Amino acid sequence: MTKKILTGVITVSLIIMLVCVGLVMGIMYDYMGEKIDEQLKNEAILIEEALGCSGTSYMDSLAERSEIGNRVTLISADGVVVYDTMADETAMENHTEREEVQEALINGEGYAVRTSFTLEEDTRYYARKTADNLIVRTSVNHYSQLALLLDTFGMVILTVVVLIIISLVISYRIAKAIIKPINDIDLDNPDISENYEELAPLLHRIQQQNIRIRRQMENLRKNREEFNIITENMSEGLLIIDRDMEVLTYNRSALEMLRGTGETDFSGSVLGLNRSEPFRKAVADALEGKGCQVLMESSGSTYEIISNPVREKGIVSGAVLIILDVTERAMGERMRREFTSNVSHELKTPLTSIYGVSDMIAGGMVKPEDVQGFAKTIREESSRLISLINDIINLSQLDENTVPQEKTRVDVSAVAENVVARLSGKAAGSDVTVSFSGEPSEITAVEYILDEIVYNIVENAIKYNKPGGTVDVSVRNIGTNCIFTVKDTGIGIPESAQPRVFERFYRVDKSHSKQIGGTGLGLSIVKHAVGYLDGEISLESEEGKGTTVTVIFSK
Amino acid sequence: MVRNRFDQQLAKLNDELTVMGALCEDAVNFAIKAVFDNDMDMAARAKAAEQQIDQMEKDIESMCMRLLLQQHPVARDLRVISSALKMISDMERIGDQAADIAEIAKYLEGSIIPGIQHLKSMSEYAAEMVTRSIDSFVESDLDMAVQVIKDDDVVDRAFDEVREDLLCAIGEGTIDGKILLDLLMIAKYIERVGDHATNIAEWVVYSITGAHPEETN
Repeated sequence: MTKKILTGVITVSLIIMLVCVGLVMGIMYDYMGEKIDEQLKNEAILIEEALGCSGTSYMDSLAERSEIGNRVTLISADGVVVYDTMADETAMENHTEREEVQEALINGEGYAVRTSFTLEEDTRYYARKTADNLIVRTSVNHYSQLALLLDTFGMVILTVVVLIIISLVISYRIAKAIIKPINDIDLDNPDISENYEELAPLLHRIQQQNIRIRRQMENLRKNREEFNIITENMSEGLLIIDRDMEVLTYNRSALEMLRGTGETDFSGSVLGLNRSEPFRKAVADALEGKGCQVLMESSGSTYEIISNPVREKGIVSGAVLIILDVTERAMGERMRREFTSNVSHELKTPLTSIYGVSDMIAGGMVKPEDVQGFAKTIREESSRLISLINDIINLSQLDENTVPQEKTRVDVSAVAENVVARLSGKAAGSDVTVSFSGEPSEITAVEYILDEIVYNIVENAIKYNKPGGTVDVSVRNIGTNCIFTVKDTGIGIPESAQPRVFERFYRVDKSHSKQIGGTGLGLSIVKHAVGYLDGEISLESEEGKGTTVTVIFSK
Repeated sequence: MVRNRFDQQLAKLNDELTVMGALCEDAVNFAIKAVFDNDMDMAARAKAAEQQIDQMEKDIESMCMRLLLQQHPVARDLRVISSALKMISDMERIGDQAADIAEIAKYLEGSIIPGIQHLKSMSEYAAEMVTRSIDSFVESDLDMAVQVIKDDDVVDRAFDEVREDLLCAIGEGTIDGKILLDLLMIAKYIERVGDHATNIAEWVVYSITGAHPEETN
């Protein structure tokens, strides 16, 4: 802006100055010419008069006066130079053709100006016809316009320099004065009325754009917040990377799953998060433009990584990775597989012996007196099969929530007492004393399921006891809860096995399971049954000292 | 983020090194599984990883050379590239040891290995050292690198224990001579893996601080 104003000011002042110089020079030149012409005329008249008095001798004496700057020429009517104060008259050409001479011959007097470019001088002539038909011509040299210009050139340059300096100062000040209010405009809230009216349309637009930008920013912020809320609360991990594997966006779940630490900040290559083989494959495949789904094991959990390429105009510009925690699903699948293989194994064992024994009988390889013994084996194995199948049916009913009876009010202590009575024979056989203490406590339950729970726990307490050991069964009311406890002085459960005793077919001591009997499903059924009745089961045990199982039902 | 070409190339070098390091971890873990779980599939995978590692060593080496020639790096960048050059040879050696262990696992297939506990924990420890040395590189973690260097002694001591175990087994006459030799070889290879992990950690220290721990000591 200052530059523009400066150029403007300088141009204008230069133009003005040049025009002025031109005009002044023109006027001066004309004025000077007129004055000289007048002077020449006066001189000529004087010479004419002098010639009249003293003849041509006057001219001789005039020639001797060298200080006279003006040139005087005497020309005859036929143009021959008779006399000249500056040059040798004999060498001079005929002057008839000269403009001033011709004019004088016709009008009695004549003027002429001739410019000599080499001398940068103008010569002004005045010719006058005398009474005796001679022509007196006076002439003088003076500066031509060009010479005048050249002569004043230094001055003009000086003036231009001064002008430029003054222009600089003025334009700087003007620019500053113009710019100041513009600089002072508050672009966020421009006040149209307080500024140059020329700026009003601009400020108006700025104001409108400000409003639009603010609205867009607000929208962006909201979108961003929404995005953050969604991604941060997602239990799935989300990762977006660019084509150089640099992480662009991530959420907390992704960091937790991939790094396993509580860090919340991350930047850099995605390989810094995790570099296991499946993860690398997911990243590499997506960046090659192929979607990919892989399973990754990391610190005891199983993750499924789904990666997809991001394309911009057909070119892969990055990848999106979703990480799902499928530990439970994987564990469920593993358990199902184990259960199936366990069930088949458990079913196969009795069936094999039934088949073997019956095959022998059918083949006539058994003596008639031994048939009874073999039939007993078949009966035992069949009853084992039936109880196993019953257990599986129970378990699947509890699993699928398809118990065929409605819940009613049942007294836990009555059920427990009944179970203790039923098992007293078995207890006596194992040399175990079972004692019962309790108060009536009604809960909402399905009776046969409650019975199943109590029977299994008490039976286990007797089975895994030592000869001479005790089992204390108690039912108490505490607040709104019914607490059912079975405490034994049995062999206990090693600490490492405690978390697994509720698993299906899990046996702490596999080597003696056949001897002790049971299907390995008892505690699993108990756990599911307690869950079905909305209760909680806990187990405390010390190896060699005994186990306490506590079930809490809410009334 | 606007980055110049050199920065991009350095980031790429970093990524490639991370992948190569990860392959080393995989190779060692596969080899250990091959030995202790008798899983021949794992032995094959360890072999495959080793081949990949060899290829990557060549690629990264030429990448480093190109960077050195074209970009004339100085100061830290130069250290990063020169330590990368050293690290890849250690990683390549780790890959080789893993492949060798996997090879021995084939001969051991099906044999009952006595007194295996020390060897197993030693192997797991060495594998973990490899992981930590690569971690220290990925995260530029000086403390972790220093810790890995210190832990080399643990593996060395474990090697002595394994040797004692084997000597006892000879004394008791409970071990087949062939298996004994194989186990000793595995233990030695594992011990070497630990050494290479230590070397990697030393180069990590050098690239961060500019001083190689061995020289400083």
